[in-house]
Formats: sequence, structure tokens, C-alpha cells
Amino acid sequence: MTLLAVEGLEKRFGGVQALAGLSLSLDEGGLLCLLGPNGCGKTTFFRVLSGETAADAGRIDFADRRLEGEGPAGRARLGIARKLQTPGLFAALTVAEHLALAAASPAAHGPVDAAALLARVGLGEHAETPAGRLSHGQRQWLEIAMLLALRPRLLLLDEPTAGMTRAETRRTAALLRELNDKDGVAAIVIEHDMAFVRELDVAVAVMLQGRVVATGSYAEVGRDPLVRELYLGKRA
Amino acid sequence: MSRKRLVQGLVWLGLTLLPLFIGEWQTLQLAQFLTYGLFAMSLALAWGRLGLLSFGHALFFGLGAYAMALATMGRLPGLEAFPSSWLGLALACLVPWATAQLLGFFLFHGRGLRGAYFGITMLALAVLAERLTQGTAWLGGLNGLIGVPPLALGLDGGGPALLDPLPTYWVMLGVAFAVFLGLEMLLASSRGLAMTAVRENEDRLGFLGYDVAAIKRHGFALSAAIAGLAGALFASQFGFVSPKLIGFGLSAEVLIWTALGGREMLLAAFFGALLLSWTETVLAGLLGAYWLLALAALLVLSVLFFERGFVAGILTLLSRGRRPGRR
Repeated sequence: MTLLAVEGLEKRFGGVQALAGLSLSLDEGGLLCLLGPNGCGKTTFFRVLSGETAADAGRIDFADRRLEGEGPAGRARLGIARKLQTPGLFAALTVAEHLALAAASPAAHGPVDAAALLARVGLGEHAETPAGRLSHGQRQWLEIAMLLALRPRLLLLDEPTAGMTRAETRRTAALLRELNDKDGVAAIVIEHDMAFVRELDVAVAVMLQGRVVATGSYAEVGRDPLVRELYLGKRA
Repeated sequence: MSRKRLVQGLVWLGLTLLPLFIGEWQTLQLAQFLTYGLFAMSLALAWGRLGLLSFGHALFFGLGAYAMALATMGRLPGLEAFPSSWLGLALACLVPWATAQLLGFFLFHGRGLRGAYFGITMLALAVLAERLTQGTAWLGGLNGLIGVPPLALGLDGGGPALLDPLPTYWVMLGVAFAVFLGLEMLLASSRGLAMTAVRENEDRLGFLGYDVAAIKRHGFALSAAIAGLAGALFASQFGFVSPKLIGFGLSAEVLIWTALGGREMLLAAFFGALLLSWTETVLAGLLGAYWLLALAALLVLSVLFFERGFVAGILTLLSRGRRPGRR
């Protein structure tokens, strides 16, 4: 069953066409990696999808409902949870308070076992630590845990492994796989780290100049001449 | 009991016993300073918790003071025969609350004003209110209103009145303590958590599904109601209200008290206002107009060495471990 259907999305910032007829779809419980060079419109797509900015044209259907006009809070209440590119946390609040905040939110879809969730992301020992004192990787995980406490229907993860070590990246890939396989959480992940994408081994959509130009598995997309040209350059 | 609670308890106990060791005149003066402390707590709620740096918070203090004066002096049309302190107190909370709700609707919803833009708008509103008050005969114009009666127990304005220094001091302290307790309980709840989160990262809070504008509006209105209550208690003690209570001067003073005390800690802001008001009376006697220079130096030193407030720094040291700004 289709959870998200995006059709002909357009967004222009002054003279820059950030989204130029973007279309894609995602099934319930689906996991999709969004690839593409810097400036191709990936984050703009997330901004539009999460209600931070409005599209100029096109339509978005989410869970059999057309999205129109809701801001970020409204979209969150519908079950769309977005992880920002740089960790979006509350420095003075403790790890446990972050989960309490999410659990008390009008967007929370059901109860949550905070201790189990923290243990799952490796922060079980840090419940009383203020977020400002966590390492970069721990902050990324805390933000993911906070979003999971909302029990969302769709997770939007913007470069979740940015600034992580190799080991942390692997652990994040494993966590994401587990969330998807066991909990059935649907997610779209923007990522530049090819090792992470390979490790995830899920459907991939490649964006260029504001639209999707190739879709398929990592291996299939890797054989696409346009994608090879984008990532490896033209043969002389 | 945590060490932090013990320190807080000792501060309140010390304040309760203080008038037993000082003269009547000083007790009366401190009772007035307690209303400044309450006012500083209201700003600490708006600024320290919600991140709303208001350069014109005296607008609400003044509205409360004038509401109290008009009600108890029988100057409210239709209510001339009902000069009740209780009516005055109710209006002193309600009018600033409603004003802040209305302002909040325009300032926070839609694109919303933030940071300096919000601060400057509040400053402009306070100056405007000061000018309007100066030019309105019903409000006493430039001279203000003289003869505001003290708090009286009777519903019709009669009955025992609060005249003696010691009971006055303890009633003011009791009100401040009740407000402090209520705010501490609020801030420890999930609503309080959301208010702190607004200060820390309001955009992120919106992505978690919270209506940030509504949280700011309600928090701001609560802060305004407390400022109004402080204004009313001040007016009933001082017996006089003037346009100075609603304008820029007092707005700047409460900012300094709160900044020096500690904006993120209610007790620190409260105690900071008491301490600075008392220091002002002592130093003004010794230094005359140069007192302001001493205050400026104190502010610079505090910013350099106690970024989150001088009193907050000391209270935190006494509570050990926790850095200022944590509840």
C-alpha cells in the first residue's frame, strides 16, 4: 500500500529551480535512499515534505490524504518526523527529557518505553546527561530516538551519519535496518556516504537538478550511465 | 531532599526571619522590593524560559498598578461603589494577561517576531503606554494617581487593612513564595519542559508537533499576569502610581535585576532584584548619582564572570554540581 506519493513537485527560490517536477512514491514500511550531488534539491524536498516551506506546484499524498497548507507541527502530527541535517536538539535538556518532550507531544502516536528506546540507540547510560555534553554521534542518535518516541509513520533522515566515525556509521545502518525490518517504520534517507548506502542495501532514487533521474537497487543504479557520469565523471 | 531544594528553602527561611533583625523602615522598604522581586520573576519566566527578551516589560507592571489604583480608588465607571482590593488584584492580573494574549497573537503567530525585533516592539509599546498615560486625565496624567489605599480584606474595600510593616512584608513574601512554588511546579511539568525547549530550539520543537506560537503566547501572558500582580502590590504599598511605572525606565531596571540575578533561575532573578534594589538605596546614599556608574560596573563584571547571573552563580555553587540555567 502506498504511504507517500509525490507528483510533479516544483519549488523555485528566486532564479534557482530547486525542485523541477519531482515525483516519487514510497510504500508503507518502505525504505528509500535519496542520492544526488549538492544542490540537486534533496533537502528542499524534505523541507517541502515536512511543511517548512510550501511547493510552488505539484501534489503530495500521505496516507491517503492530500497534504496542503500544514506547517511542520501539523505534518508531524500526521506522522511525518524529520531529522535535521545538523542535530536539532535542546542543549540544556537531558537525554531523558528529550524523550519525555517527544512522548508528551501532540504528535506522539502512542506510548513509548523510553529506557528501551535509549538502550536501543546506545544512550542507556546517558539518560541524565544534558544533550550539550554528548558527542556528535550520540547527538545524531538522540535525535533519531526522539523522533522514534513520536512513533511516526514516516521518518525523514537528512544525512544521519554526517560527522560519524566508520563504526558509528555501521551501527546507524544496522539500527535503521532493524527499525525498518522489525518495527516497520518507513523512512527516506538522504545520504552522501556510499558505504552507508551500500550497507543499507535498499531502494535508491538519484536526484539531479530537482527531479528523480534514476531509481532501483544500489547495484542497478550504480550501473546507470548517467549516475556513473554524475559520480565518476565522463570518460575522456 | 536535594541540596538544591535545601538551599532554596534556606533562602526563603532567611527572608522570612529577616525583618525580625532589621528596623521598621527597612522592613517596609524590603516589602516594596519584594514586589520588584516578583516582577523580576515574571521576566525570568518570559526571558529565561521562553527566550522572550522583553525591553518593555514594565508595560504589564504598570497596567497592573493602574488597574489596582483605578479599582481601589473607585475610578472605574460603574464600579465606583465597589473599591475592593480583591477586584483590583483580579483586574491587575487579568488586564495584563489579556493584553499579552492579544499582543502574542499578533507577535508570535504567522511568521512571528523573534529576538531583537520582539524586544524593540515591546520597548516601543512601553514608551507608547507611558506617553498615553501621561496624556490621559482619567489616569492622573503626568502626576499619576495619589492615594491608592492599602490592601484591605473586605470584599467592599473595608475591613482590616495591611498597614503595619511586618504583616505587609510577610504578605508580600507569601505571595512571592506562592508564585515561585506555582512556577517551579509548572516548569517541572511537561508544559514547562516545552517552554524550556522553546528557548533552546523553537524550530525543532515545531517539528516535534508542538504549537510553538501558542506556548509562547500562553507563557508570555502568564508572565504578564505576574508582572501585573507585582505592579498591583507595589501600588497598594506605595499609595501612588505614575507613568514611570509603565515606561522604559522601569523596563530597563527589571532587565538589569534579572540579568544580574540570573534569568534562567526564578529564585536568582527574585533575589537579584531584592539585592540590587537594596544596594541601590545604600550606594545612592554614599555615591549620589555615581551609583549608576557602580551599577554599570557591576553589570560588566557579572557578564564577564557570571554569564548566567551573579546570584544564579552563587546559588549553583551552593547547590554544587549543577551549572546555572538548569532547573
